[in-house]
Amino acid sequence: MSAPTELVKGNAMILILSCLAREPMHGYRIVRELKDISEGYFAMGEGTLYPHLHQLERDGLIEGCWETTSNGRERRMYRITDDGMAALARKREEWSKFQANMVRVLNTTPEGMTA
Amino acid sequence: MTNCCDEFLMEIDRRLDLPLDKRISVMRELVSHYHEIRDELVESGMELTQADEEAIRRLGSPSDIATRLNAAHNSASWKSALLAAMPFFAWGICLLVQSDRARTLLEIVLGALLLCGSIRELVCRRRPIWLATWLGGAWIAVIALIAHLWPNQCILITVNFLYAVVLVTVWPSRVWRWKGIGYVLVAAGGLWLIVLLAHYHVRPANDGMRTAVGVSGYLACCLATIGSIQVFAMRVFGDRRSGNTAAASLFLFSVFAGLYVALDFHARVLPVAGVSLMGLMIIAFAISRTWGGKAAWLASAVVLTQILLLTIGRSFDAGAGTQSLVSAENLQFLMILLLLSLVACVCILGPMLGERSEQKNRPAIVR
Repeated sequence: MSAPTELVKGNAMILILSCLAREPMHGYRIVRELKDISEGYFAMGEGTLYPHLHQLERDGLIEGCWETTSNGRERRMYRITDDGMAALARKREEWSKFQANMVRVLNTTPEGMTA
Repeated sequence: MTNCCDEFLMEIDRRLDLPLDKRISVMRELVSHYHEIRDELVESGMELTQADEEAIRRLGSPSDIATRLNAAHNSASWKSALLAAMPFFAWGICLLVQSDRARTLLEIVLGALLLCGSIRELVCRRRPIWLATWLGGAWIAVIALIAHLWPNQCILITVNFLYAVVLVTVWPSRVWRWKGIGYVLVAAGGLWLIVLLAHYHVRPANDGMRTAVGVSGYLACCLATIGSIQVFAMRVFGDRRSGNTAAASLFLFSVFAGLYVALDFHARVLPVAGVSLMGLMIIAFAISRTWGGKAAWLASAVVLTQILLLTIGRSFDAGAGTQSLVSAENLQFLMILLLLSLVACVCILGPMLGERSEQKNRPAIVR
């Protein structure tokens, strides 16, 4: 089962920044990491990753540069910037609060609500 | 690459509205991603044809990818949008100054700032999104300043000519340099004509020049001029070597916004309100991500300008008791501006239509 497309799109920024916070990666690797870590839950149209990456780059949260691998293949590697780390920290905090409150609301039974 | 992949990548390439260097970079990245998927699938034992099809399926819809990439690259950041609107806000501040001498001084500083800033970016071969409005703003600021200092039409022509030469000489695209000079001259001459005619038509109430022949001639000039300016914008900003249609539209927006203000330059309050409104609209236009959003802001700008012109601007003229808001004078004025607004909308949104019709003939960079 994979995540609803709109949910993935809406949270692509935090997902990408989380991957890049670990180490610099190219686009394909980011997709692979997301898929592997989430056991296939976060599967996105791989081409639509790039608009998100380019937007993050324009916002100064990540930076990209071309690198050539040992087999001569060109890859554009992305790394997170200091602003990106700060943005990720803010997003993590927002998510923690959101998740905690979401769980609290979902776990509230009708009896609890009337109490 | 197979034909299937070729078609997929060319479809994306055709739909991208980005300057050439960005377009090449984006396509390289997508091709690299496609190779990664395909090679991995082949290594896992899949046949090349199947791997190819699977790689394309995983990349997603070409139109979706291109639309999102256009949106990511063609919307300005807040900083760029504010810089794009800066000429209009600065112009508004100039108009607020009561002293003629101080106002002239401020106009000189503004014109010089816009010109120097634009030329610096052009010489450094940079194309920030705000460059379009700075060039448009510098053009109008310089014309307004010279017209104020030396109300002699020959000087206006000379200034337009010099501006055109400076602009096109520093433009890096050699292909368009000489063609650009021609377009700029036509557009500059036309712009001068439109401002001059607007001056005669809008300001004097009873000087006998507002005849039917005069109005139709004026409108014919407007249409020809707007057409010329649009051609210039598309050739210089939208040639895809150094710009794109979003930048061309922003340039057109700034020129038309300047024209609106110039048309009612003699009303006492409107210029300040008008340039401020246009500044805000340029910010909204610049940060809009889609053409639909840009079109919505453009339509709002036109409607708000009409309301502003009809209420604040003309009611000030009517303050002396010589006019009412529904006078034939005002209605005629409104008709002219409405027609100009419609033509301006078509011109500014024209790049979008042109881009779509161009897709079939556009040479692909992916082979």
